[in-house]
Amino acid sequence: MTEILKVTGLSKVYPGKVTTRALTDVNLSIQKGEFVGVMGPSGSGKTTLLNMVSTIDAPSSGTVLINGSNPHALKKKELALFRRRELGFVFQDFNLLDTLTVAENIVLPLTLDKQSLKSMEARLEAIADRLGIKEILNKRVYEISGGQRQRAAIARAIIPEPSLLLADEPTGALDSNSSQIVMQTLEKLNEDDGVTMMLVTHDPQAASYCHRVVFIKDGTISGEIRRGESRQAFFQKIIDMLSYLGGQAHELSSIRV
Amino acid sequence: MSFPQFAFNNVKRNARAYFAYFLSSCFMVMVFFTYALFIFHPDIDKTELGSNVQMVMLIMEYVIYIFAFLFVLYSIGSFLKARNKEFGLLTILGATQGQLSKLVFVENMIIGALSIVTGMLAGLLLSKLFLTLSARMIGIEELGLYFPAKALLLTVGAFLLLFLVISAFTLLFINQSRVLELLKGGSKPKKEPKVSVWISLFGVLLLAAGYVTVDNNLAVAAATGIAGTYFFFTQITVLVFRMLKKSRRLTWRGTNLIWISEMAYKIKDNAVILFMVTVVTAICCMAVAFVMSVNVRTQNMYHEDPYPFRYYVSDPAQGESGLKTVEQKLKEKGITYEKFKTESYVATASGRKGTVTVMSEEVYKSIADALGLAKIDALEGKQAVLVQSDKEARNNPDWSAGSSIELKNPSSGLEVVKEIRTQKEVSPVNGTNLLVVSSALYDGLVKQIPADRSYWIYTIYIYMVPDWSGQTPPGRNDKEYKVGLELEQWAHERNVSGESADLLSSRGGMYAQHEQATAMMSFVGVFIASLLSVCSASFLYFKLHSELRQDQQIYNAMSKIGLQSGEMGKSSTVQIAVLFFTPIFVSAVQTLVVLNRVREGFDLDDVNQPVLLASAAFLVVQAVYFVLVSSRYIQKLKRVMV
Repeated sequence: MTEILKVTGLSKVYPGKVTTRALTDVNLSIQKGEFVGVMGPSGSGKTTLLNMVSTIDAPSSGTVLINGSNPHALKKKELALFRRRELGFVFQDFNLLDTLTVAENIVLPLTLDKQSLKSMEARLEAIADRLGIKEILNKRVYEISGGQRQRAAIARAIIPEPSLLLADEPTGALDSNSSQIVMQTLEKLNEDDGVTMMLVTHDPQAASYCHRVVFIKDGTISGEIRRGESRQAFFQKIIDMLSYLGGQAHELSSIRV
Repeated sequence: MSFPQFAFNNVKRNARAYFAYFLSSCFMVMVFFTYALFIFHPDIDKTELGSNVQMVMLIMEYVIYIFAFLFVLYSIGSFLKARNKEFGLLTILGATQGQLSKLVFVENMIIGALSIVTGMLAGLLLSKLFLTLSARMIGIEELGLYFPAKALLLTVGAFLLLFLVISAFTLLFINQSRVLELLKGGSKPKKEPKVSVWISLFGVLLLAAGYVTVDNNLAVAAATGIAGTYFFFTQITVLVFRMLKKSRRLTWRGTNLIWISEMAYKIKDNAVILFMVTVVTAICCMAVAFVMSVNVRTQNMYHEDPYPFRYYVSDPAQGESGLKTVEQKLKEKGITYEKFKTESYVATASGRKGTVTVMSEEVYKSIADALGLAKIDALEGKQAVLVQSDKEARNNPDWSAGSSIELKNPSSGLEVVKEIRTQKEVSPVNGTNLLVVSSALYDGLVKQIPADRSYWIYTIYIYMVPDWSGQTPPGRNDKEYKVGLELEQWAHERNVSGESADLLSSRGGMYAQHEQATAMMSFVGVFIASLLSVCSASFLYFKLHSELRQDQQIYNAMSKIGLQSGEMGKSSTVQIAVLFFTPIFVSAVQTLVVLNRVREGFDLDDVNQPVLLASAAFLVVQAVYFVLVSSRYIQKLKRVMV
C-alpha cells in the first residue's frame, strides 16, 4: 500500500504575547484509498492540523509528506500549483463562486491548468453524472440547495483527480438529510473510485462513514478507533470515545443551522 | 465616546476609502475658488479681454457647481453601499433609523467641511501663483493680490449648501429593512439590463440624432449623445459578455473564466461606470481638441495671409484720411513699408460656389514682385490668368489652364491661358480666387457695373513690410503683434463710432486676437479638464473600493483551491484595465466624429491630429491612475491569498 499522507512529529506554536501551542508532536499516516476522520472538541487543534496538511499554514517543526513530497519546501507559486493538482478541498461554507454557474465552478481548477476543452467537458459530464448534479449544471450557485452546493463543491475538488481529498466540516452547514446525502456521496467516491480522504468534523454521524477516526485533544492525538462491519455500531463507539475523552455529549452533537 | 466622536472616528479610520473622494472634493473647491478669485478681482474688468475672461469663468463656475453636485451625490451613494454590512450591524445593535441618518449626515458634513477648508487654503496659498500665471498665459496685465472676501464667501456658501443638501438627500439611500437582508449575506446579482433589438435601435437612433443635430443645436446634441452613450454601454456590455460566455473555448481558459464571469456578474454597475467615465472624458477630450484645432487654424490663417496690412476704402469720395493715421503709426514704430493701391471687383461665375475676384493685368504686375508671384505675359482679348491656392482650388476643381469660364454680372466669357498656384491667399478679397484679365477688358467690365452696385468694386491699399517674413507667427512682444492689435482696435473704434466705414485687416492683429482667445480657453480648459479627469479616476476608485470585500472573499477561497498570486493579479488587472481604458477609446472615437462633423462650421482645418493628441494625453494620464489604483488594489487582494 502506498502512503499518501505522512505526518511526522508535527508541532505548531503561535508566537505572540501569549504563546499558544496548538499542536504537539502529532504523527499520522493515511494510506491510499483510506477514509480517515479527525475529531475533537473546539480548540483541540484539528483545524490547525488540517491547515498544515492543506499547506495553507506552515508547521513550526515536524514534516508533512504528501505522496512522498514535502509541500512546505515549495515556493509560494509552486505551492498553489501543488494544491491545485494534488489536493482537493471541501469546505463547510462551500466556497463556490456566486459569479459562476455550477458547471463553471466545477471546471475552474482545470481551466486554470489550461486543459483542453474536450477533456474538461468529458470529465465534467462524468463527474456530474456520478454525483447526480447533471440537471443543475447551468444554474447559478444561489439558485440551488445547500446539499447540491456541497456536491458541486465535491465535484470541483475531485475533478483534477487529487491524491488527497480534504474535507473541513462538510456537513456543518447542512440539514441532516443533506448531510446524509453528502456523506453517502463521499463514501461512494471512496469505495468506487478509491479516493483517499481526510475528514475533519464535529459530527459523529458524519464521522461514522469513515474507516477509522483519529481523536485530537489539546493538540495531541489521544486515540484512534476503527470501523467494523456496522456503521451503527461504529457511531456508538465514536460517541463512547468522545465521552471517554471528557467532552460532554451535548457539546459534541453536530452543528445545525 | 459621544455620537459625533463616533462619526469622526468612522471618517478617520475609513480615511483610505475616503481619500480619493476627499481629494477630488478639495480640488473642486480649489478650482471653484480660483475662478471666483478672478471673477471678483477689482481690476479684471478694466480691459475688454479681462471682462471676457470674467464672463467665461462665470459660466465655468456654473459648470463646476453642477458637476460637483453630481459627483458628490454619486460618490456618497456608492460609498454607503459598500458600508451596508456595517449599517446592518448597527441596526442589530439597536441603532434607530434616525441615529443612522444622523451618523451619515455628520460624517458627510465632516468630510465636506474638511474639503472646503483644505481646498480654500490650497487656493489661497496658490492664489498669487494663479494670478501671475494666468495673467501671463492669457496676456492681460498682471493682476495684483487682494483679500478675496467675496470669493471666500461665495465658495464657502456654495459648497456648504451643496454638502448640506446632498447629506440630507443621501438619507434616502439607507433603507433599514434592506440592510438587514444584506447582513444575512446570500447576495444575488443585480438584474442584467434588458437587451432588446428595440432598445439597441433606440440607442443608435439617439446617437444618430446627436450626430445630425450637433451643428444646429448643441444642447439637444449633447442630451441625445449622452443618452445614446448610456444605451450603448448598457446594451453592448451585456451583448459582449453574453457572446463571450457562449464560447467555452474562450471562456474556459486560464483566468478568463474568473474575470469574464465576474465582470458579467457586475454588469449593471460596470455599464453605469463606463458610461459616466466616458461622458466625462469625452467632454474633456472635445474641449481640449477643439481648443487645439482652433489654435492650428489661427496659425494657418497667419501663414496663408500674405498681407501685413490691408486697408479697404469704403467710399473713395470720402478721401483716404485714414491712410495717413496708419502710415504715421507705422513710421512712429520705425516700420519700413511699401504701399500698393489695388482695385478689383468681385463677380460670380459659372461652376463656382463662392465669388471670384477680377483684377487687371496692370494691378497684378504692380504687386507681383512684392508678393513673389510668377510673372505673366501680356494678355489679349478674353484671355485670363487664374491665380489660386490649393484651398481655393477645391471650390472649383474644373478650373485650370485651357478651360473657359462664364463670368456673370457683367457677363463675359473668359479663356484661362495659365494657372498660377500659390501657397498663400493672394486675392486681396478674402475667400475668393483671382482672375487676372487685360486692362482693357477690366475697364470695359467695370464700366458695366451699375452705380448702385458700386460696392462690388474694392479699392484696397496694401502695406507690405519686408522685415516681416510671414513664416513664423509673431510673439507677444513683436512689433507685428502689438502694432497689428493697436491698428485693429483703432479701426474697430472708428467703425463703431460711425466715423468711417473703412476696414482694416492686419495679419498680426488678427493672429493676436485669436491667440489671446485660445490662450484664455486653454487656461480655463486645462483646469476643467484636469478636474474632470481627477474626478473620473475617483469614480473608478470608489467603484473598486466598494467591491474590495467581495473580491477578497472570492480570491481567498480561490487561493485555497490553488489559484496563484500571479493569476489573481492577471484576472483583476484585466478587469480594472477594461474599466479604465474602454472609456478613453470610446470617447476618442466620439470626439473624432463630433469634431469632424462641426469642423466646417467652425472653419477649422484639420481636427484629427488634435483629437488624437488630446486623447493620447488623456490615455497617458489615465495610465498613471491605472497603475496607481490597480497596484494598490492588487496589493490589498494579495493579503488574503494563502
